[in-house]
Amino acid sequence: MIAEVVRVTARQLLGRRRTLLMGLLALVPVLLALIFRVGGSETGTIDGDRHFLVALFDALIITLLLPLVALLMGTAAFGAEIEDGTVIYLLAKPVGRLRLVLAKLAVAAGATFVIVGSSTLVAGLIVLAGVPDGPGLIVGYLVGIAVGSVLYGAVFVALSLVTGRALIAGLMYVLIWEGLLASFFAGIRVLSIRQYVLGISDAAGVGGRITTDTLPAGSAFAIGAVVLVLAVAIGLRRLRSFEVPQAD
Amino acid sequence: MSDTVTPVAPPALEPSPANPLAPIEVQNVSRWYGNVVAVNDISFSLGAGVTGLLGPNGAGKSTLLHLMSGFLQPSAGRVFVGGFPAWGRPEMYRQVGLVPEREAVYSFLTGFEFARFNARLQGLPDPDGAATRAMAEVGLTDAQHRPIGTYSKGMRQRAKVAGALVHDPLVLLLDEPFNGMDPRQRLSMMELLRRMAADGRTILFSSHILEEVERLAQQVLVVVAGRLAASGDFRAIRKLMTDRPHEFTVRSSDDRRLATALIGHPAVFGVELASGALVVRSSDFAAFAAAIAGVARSTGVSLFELLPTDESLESVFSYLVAR
Repeated sequence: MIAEVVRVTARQLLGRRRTLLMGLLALVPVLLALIFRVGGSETGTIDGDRHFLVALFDALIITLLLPLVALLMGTAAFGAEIEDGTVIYLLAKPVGRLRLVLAKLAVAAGATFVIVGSSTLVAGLIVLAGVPDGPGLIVGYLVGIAVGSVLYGAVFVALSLVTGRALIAGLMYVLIWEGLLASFFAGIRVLSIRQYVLGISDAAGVGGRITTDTLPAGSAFAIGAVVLVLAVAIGLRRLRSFEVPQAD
Repeated sequence: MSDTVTPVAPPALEPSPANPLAPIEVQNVSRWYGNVVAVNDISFSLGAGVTGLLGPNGAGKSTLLHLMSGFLQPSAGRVFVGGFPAWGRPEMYRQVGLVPEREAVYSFLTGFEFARFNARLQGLPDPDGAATRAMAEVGLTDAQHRPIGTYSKGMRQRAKVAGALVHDPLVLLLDEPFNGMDPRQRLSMMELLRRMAADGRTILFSSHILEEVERLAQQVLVVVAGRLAASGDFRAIRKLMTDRPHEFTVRSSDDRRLATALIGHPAVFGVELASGALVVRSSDFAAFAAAIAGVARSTGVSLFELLPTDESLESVFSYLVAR
């Protein structure tokens, strides 16, 4: 039953032009990695490779690619259907609303992880060929990205049920809150998904960042879990009292 | 619903052990948006058969259907469909099939996949079989493996119906189901709905076109400006509509002479000389239409223009409300 919702939502998302755009965006880290490999690193040392990779992943993938892809997928998972009216066919079914929210979250998180994760994997393999702890580093990032896909997905799916302007609200959260404010005010980090992702990827084996001061992994997991439960609860509450806009 | 015409809201049926809930029960339901009242204290109950929900555009038909579909929360009153409260109880949808007015469908799915999607979400044991049957029921077997995006408007409408009846629901709610269909598709859709009603289902469809309702529905609910203007047997309401006084504007070579002659005709009960035209009120549309040319000829007056002034559906409805 839920598999059907997942299947149809996935086909719906894949057919959108925005998804294609995200795929292209995901190629950027891969291209940069190629340029780095072909052009040769300045230092030519294993440490130099490692530094480049961590900088690339932190600045580009964790800060931009992951939240942006998650934003588009998360807000479209319900949003696309609400926009074009097909959500009626989903709502007019004897299916518990929690299952619908979880199905949409599964698609949003899954699609985000596939796009961002494969970009990470390919770029990582290109840069780190020959670095001893290279595989560990990549796995650490992938774990963080997996957790981030779920957390961002849950927040953005909920956001799309709360407001019709979820894309703009989400963009402001990513760019202004996480990008700007959280880098100035350490206290805000507690409420930043990016910080949970960094903290968890640290614990999973990344470490040695240039921009240190990430959230401890324990706190990241605990607060992340609370955020997940809250986001699903808010989304569920909104869906239960969701009124379908009329055509006329 | 009784067979007699009941102007304005009929009394609400209270559910009780002796009178269990009808398939559709609407009890004193109102819905407002801020200061705008879209549905105003409407009550009725419907059983098996085809019922037409008739009213001009913007009268509140869609709001009423949305309330019955569980897509809107009533501001006041209660709605039960298939024995369940329509709002906040997804279990209700086991009993209900919906055909929304909006064009939107999953255009990337084939007709068959769309029917199967509905069957699977209904939790049917054999979704493929149910989808195949539903596609055959609406006559789309040949096109069932084409994406809905390639369907004509009428085919899309039928695909929506297939999705709505795939789980064999007790109640079928259709919002303007004949929009965009050609006459042949319209006929076959009517035939399908009649067949389903004969199987004991409760079918409610909305329309702003009198003729559609006339051809299909035994019962009718007339909604005007958010209120239930009339409900009951269609023929009785139709008679009310045709028996009402009709008004015509006539321009001729000599309005005054024509007026004198017309007032003597039994079908005419009022004549008024307006600026440059004659306003004639008749109690019998057909008789007046047949007589006017003869009267003009015998008095030697040339007719320039003859216009029925109030034939719009809206004026028919407002007449019904005013009664």
